[in-house]
Amino acid sequence: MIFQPGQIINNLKIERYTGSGAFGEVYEATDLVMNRHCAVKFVPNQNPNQFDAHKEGQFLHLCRHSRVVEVYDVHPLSYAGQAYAAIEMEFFPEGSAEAYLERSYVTARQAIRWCIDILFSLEHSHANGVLHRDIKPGNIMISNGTAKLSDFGLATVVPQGGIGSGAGTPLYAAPELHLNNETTIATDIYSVGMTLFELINNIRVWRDSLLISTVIFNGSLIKKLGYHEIIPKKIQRICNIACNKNASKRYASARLMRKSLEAIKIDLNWELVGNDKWKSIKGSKRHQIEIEERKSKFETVYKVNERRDNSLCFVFSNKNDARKKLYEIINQTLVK
Amino acid sequence: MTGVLGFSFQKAKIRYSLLVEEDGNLTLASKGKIDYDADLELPNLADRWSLSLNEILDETKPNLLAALQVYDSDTLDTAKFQIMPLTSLANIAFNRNLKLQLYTGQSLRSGKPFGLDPKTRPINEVDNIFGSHPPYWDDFQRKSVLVAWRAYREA
Repeated sequence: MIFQPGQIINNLKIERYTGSGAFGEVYEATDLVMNRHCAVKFVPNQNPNQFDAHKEGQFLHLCRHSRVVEVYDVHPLSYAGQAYAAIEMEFFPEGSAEAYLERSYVTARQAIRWCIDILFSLEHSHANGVLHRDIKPGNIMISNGTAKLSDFGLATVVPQGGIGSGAGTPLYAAPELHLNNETTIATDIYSVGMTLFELINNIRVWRDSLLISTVIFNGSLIKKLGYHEIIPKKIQRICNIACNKNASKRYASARLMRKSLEAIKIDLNWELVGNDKWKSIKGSKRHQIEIEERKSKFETVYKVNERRDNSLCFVFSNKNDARKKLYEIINQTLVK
Repeated sequence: MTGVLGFSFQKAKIRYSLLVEEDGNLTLASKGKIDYDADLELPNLADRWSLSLNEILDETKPNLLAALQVYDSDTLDTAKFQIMPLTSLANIAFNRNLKLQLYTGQSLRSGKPFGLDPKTRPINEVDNIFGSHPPYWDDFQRKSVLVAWRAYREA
């Protein structure tokens, strides 16, 4: 941590350290001149004459959109003999999608909606000739139910031919990036697909063994892990297309992937609220499904507004079968 | 070149069609539909309409907007999905300094404003004049063409 809470650097008062992004540390801060609550990323600038460290701020400005984190200003400053570009941005008290996932269950509607938001921002960035190259839940900020793309630290201008140099987080990186060290619109699409996969399956912690596994490098991670039983085929299909090993078989644009996600109609937006206990509220109806254990029998009990719906209640002799049925019911009622 | 973007609204979908005039010829340059999650809460719906409509306007860059206006709301769905999205469109039109022409269903029934025989139903002539463009080429989609067509004639 370079700075301490309470420290004032130029017109920025540091409130607390919030984490590290690509190439710099991020702090919650107050701009004392504007009296503005903000997030500030301090990017060490090796060569202030070339303005390299300012590029992230410039990309954020170039890609301004309601689903891209707003950049307020970039302050060139020096501290302890080191030059920095202090990128002053919108602050998000709710944090990132990754942080949200760590503390709460992400419903299918939330996961799809956030990915639609990110695809809007990506479509806009690509139209402005910018590849993001580091899309992942940790770089998606959540505010009032909507998602905004942040951290353009690895972003690059799409060169002629559409192929950029390699960059990104291995888990979310397409196989051709691992193989050829190349980034394209298709590698950004792959990263959104992996993000959707993580969110929709509520994967809070990736197994360490996977992070160095060949399944990441050859693009077969989804096949290896499979989907949670509650995830309907319609959603799986979109994820599978986005994360196809063959870049030419992925969505050709962020727009096409967004349109596929927009066509998904969530019916019952199930939320895990306890052990084998799920709920969904639709209009005035509160749907619940859970496993009740009595006299060594296990029953999946479905209730609507606290009244049993016997057509969806089933008794089993073991818990695994009961859970399988529960997942099947959720799977069949999640989308229209 | 003049581009007129016409809209018609229905539950969970917004239909749009872009008519372009070049050298005196008016043609259907593009058409599409915006799908949205109708179960979102109203503030989120309004945000979604605004986001999607802005994106379509960025892409099609029209000079003029036109929309089907529903004024008799006898169900909540009519109010929510046919009238309220129009407010988002009107706000966008204001911000972009674009004129927005509104037409009721009634005003699209006579052929006269379209330069057709007054007894001709204009919606029946859409395919003859602009061609048939499946998929989702139905009367909702044709109405988005109709409003753009009429707005073009009045511009």
